[in-house]
Amino acid sequence: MRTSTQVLAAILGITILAQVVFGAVAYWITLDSSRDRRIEMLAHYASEILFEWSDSSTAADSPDILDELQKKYHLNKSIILLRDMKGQLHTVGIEGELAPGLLSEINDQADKAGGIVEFDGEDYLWSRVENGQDSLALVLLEPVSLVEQAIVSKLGIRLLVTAGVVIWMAVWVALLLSSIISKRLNDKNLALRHQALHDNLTGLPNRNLLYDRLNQVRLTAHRKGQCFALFIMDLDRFKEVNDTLGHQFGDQLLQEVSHRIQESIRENDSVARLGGDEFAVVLPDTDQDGAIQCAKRITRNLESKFNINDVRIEAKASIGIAMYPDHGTETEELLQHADVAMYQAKQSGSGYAVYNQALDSHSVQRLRLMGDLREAIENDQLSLHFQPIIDLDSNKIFKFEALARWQHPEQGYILPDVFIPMAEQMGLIRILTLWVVDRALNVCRQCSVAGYELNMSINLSTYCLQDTSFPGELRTILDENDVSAECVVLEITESALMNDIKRAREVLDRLHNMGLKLAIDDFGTGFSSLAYLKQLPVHELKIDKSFIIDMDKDESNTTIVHTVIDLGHNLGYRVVAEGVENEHALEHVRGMGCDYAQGYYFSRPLPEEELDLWLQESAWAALTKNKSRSAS
Amino acid sequence: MNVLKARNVGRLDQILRIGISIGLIYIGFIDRNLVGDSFSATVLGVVGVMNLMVALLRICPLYSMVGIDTCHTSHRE
Repeated sequence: MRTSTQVLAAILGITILAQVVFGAVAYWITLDSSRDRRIEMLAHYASEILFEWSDSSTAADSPDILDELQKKYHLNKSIILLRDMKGQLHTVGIEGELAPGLLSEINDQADKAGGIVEFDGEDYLWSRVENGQDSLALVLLEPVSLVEQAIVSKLGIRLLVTAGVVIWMAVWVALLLSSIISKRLNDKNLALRHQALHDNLTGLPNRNLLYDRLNQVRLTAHRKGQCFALFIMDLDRFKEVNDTLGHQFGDQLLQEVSHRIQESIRENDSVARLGGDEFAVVLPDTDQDGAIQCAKRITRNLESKFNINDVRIEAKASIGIAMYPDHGTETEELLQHADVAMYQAKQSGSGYAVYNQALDSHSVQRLRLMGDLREAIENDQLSLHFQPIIDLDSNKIFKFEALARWQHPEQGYILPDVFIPMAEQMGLIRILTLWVVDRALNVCRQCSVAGYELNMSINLSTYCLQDTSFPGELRTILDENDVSAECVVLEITESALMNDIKRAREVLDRLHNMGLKLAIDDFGTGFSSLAYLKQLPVHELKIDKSFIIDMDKDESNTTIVHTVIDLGHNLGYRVVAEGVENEHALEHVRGMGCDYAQGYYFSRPLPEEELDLWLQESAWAALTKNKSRSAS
Repeated sequence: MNVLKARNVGRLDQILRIGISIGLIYIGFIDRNLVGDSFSATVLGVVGVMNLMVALLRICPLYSMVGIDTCHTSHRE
């Protein structure tokens, strides 16, 4: 039942109940007072009649006089009793006698001048007036029902009219109340509905409303044979803004961004905030060119700097575009594909990208590969390759760098650049690193047994530097393999190191205290802070191979290599040149004072099983073998 | 234009009101014996006059308070 109906029913019910009670009470009060008043009236009439009779010469019971009196005093239904001089009561003007019981009852009440007497199931009002001189008495009797009839006819109509007016008013009050209540409830419902379907911060539709609108647009497009576009976009490096300038600033930026997005789209397009810095835009009846134009407009609008609390900041967005029906006909499918496109846009840095099925199948493949990687790590299906690093002073092998390799049974060789980030993403990097360390140290010990005193370089993920239990686990592996910590060099890329240097510092110090060495890998390709670098327990810098390989083609590369070697030496580090592929490069870096070199000129990374053969046959290895130890 | 906009009593509503008003005015002021009580007759007569005014102006204050509009409903649909 609706609220208005309930209010109406309640008020009408109360009103009618009140009317009935009021009517009944009014009736009884009126009846009581009317009886008393009628008895008084009867007494008044009786005294007047008696007075007229006593003055008149006409016989009191003359029908003409009685008729006249009854008409005069409206006593046509009253009974007139007359007590004669003998003291007998008898009726006047009415044929027949009244029952003796009624007469005697009135006679018995000689001390009263009037009242109510019941006789034969009916109540009578009576009033008596006496003439003291000639002992005449007149009694007027009237049935109570006469009074009741009069009251009912008069009061009934008034009550009916009043009730009508009151009920009419009650209906309006009920309508008024219900309209006020309905309006309030409606407002509240609207507010709640708005809250449930909109984002509090920006006031934009939220994910739920987006799904709803997307469904509607999809159905319309399906019916009319139109196409439409869905954008999923997020802001690049928004987390940095939040972290450095605070969440309040980030919130304000999101509000400004939402305004700019709204300014960039048409009236019938919809924007929604999906959460965080992620937005979605639905563009009904839009082809791919139109969608790209709109994406460009949004990125262009976001490019101009935002001025928030006197801080000028720029926001760059990556927009993924999915088209209906080309890239999907279902809502979920479109959202997923727009999401994939957004990551493609983010990776390419182009600002926007239309969903590309070829790249997405790669993503599906990537998911499958992630499953396979877990299996490969758990089932020991990965292998280690080792590339020698030569000491340029002695021309001996200084150490090997251990490199993880994955030969996928179906997809063949998988690059470390592909599976290492996967392992990091899946939280498998710790197990993978410990496995690599264990295998590498095992090989290191075997080399040592074979007479080669070699160090081992092992690449370390930045995730391991966040793990305070890592040094302890490394210690255990070192002990198990009976390898000295001084023989191990841990390599880490400068970008990874700089990402979260404060947290990594604790682990690095502990590793350093254990006697392990630290090398900065691919130096020159990332963003190193020399201020941090000098504080870290670094032993080696490894110059990225891109500089060494292109040294002949680009003079500036030579300058960079030379500078890095000098920088390393000046800071007290040893310097390794990666990517030495020919003798010319070797002599070049040697001439610049580089300490160590690594590259295909010496050897490609060798599988574990080929290591023995290479050590036996290679000229570099021959110089390295520790004869005395071998003999022992 | 404003008066037209403020109108909230529709044509059918107006006709019904005029009919009822004529009846009430007749009972209240012309043939008072029909009711038999002068007070009641006067009340009914006054209600009839008020209702007639609403019907002729086609503006009902109670309708606007409650939000009823029998005038524009058909046009909206």
